[in-house]
Amino acid sequence: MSEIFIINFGTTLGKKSERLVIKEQGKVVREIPFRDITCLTIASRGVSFSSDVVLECIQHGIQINFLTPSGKPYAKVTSPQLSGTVITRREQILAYNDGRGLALALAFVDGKLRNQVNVLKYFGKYRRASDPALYQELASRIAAIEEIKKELEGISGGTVDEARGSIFSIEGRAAQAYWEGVGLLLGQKIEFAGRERRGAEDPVNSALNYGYGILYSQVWGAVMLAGLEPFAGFLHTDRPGKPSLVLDLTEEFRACTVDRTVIGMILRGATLAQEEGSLTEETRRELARRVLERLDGEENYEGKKYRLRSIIQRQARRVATFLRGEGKYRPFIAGW
Amino acid sequence: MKTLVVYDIPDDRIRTRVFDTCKNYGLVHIQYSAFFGELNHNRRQELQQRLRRVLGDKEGKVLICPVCDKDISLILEVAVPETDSFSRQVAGLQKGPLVF
Repeated sequence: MSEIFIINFGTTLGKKSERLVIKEQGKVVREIPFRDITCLTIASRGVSFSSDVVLECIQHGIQINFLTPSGKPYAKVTSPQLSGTVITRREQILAYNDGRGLALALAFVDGKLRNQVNVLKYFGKYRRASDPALYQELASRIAAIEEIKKELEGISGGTVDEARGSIFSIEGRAAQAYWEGVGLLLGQKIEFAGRERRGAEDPVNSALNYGYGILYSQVWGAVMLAGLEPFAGFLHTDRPGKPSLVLDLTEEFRACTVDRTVIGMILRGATLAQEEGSLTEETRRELARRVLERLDGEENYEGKKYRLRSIIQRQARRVATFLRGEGKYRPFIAGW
Repeated sequence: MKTLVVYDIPDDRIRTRVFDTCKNYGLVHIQYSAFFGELNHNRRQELQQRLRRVLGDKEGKVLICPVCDKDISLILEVAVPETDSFSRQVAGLQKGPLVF
């Protein structure tokens, strides 16, 4: 099973029998059976395809994602039948005003912080012997995040609205320590002044944002397949057009999927080339390839090995199960 | 499991449809009437049913044959003129993200 990612300007997608035909400059570069495709992502301008391709994709359960060249998702083609599970959605909306909403918000942040710690531990373990000074610095950042994380236990009762201030404070301080740690790791290889969320022009932040864009599309798809409402989140506030549940669920996957991939790439000597303030096509291609490979990578989950991609789907289903009162929700913690 | 599909079909139209069906299952065209690729048990049976329908009551014969990895490593090949070797063609089968 493979995921198809289109970066080349002017690619044409066609359908021939039951295969997706990819053409560049009128020449066929590859034919892939629809039954082998998990997801189709178009991250370039000037790509054309017909309604037949859309129909065939939907019939095979393939969602089509559209990303801008900087990695921001702007459209998604899915079956309109996916919003058919009403009970989950009713419960999701109601959960905002009771303890379930708060419990989910706390779980997402807990997962985020633990995964951030694990990313630092992951890169730290090889430096324990080779670079003890750096290892000590990382260890102090890890200790700081773990200390801040304890405050999460103090938040209980009430609704997520009442607790949001304290949750964001915890998240913010932990993030500071985490990105300092990342900065220390990257220090010798590339300049990284700190994390910037939007409109970043430096290579590291651009690369992270590009990776998060790919991750969002994945999580968004998982949320929809689980019958959840992408725009009704808990941790992130309601705002028209803001897929807050998608952003919520993404929190526990950012560090282990994108950060780890981008940091690893830079540490192993990859260059993040830029052109007029944005990443070059070659760099974007490489980033996409690595992030998608990471999504195919296996992690331990519920005592078995699953691909990260499947874990995202399972976690989305877990959110739905939890909201319907049929089970617990525990965040996913990647290994190190 | 790796699978070899070979066929003998005199009718041009039917043969083309069998050819297309094999491609739809992600198999690689290795010789005029031979395909090779990864198919699990379900897919093999699905392919058999599809091909049975394509063939209908026309004359023809298709063999769908699973091959184990050990036997694949023992495959020998003679080709004149030198063409893209079997192992190279089959290496292109691996799945994973495809970036274009």
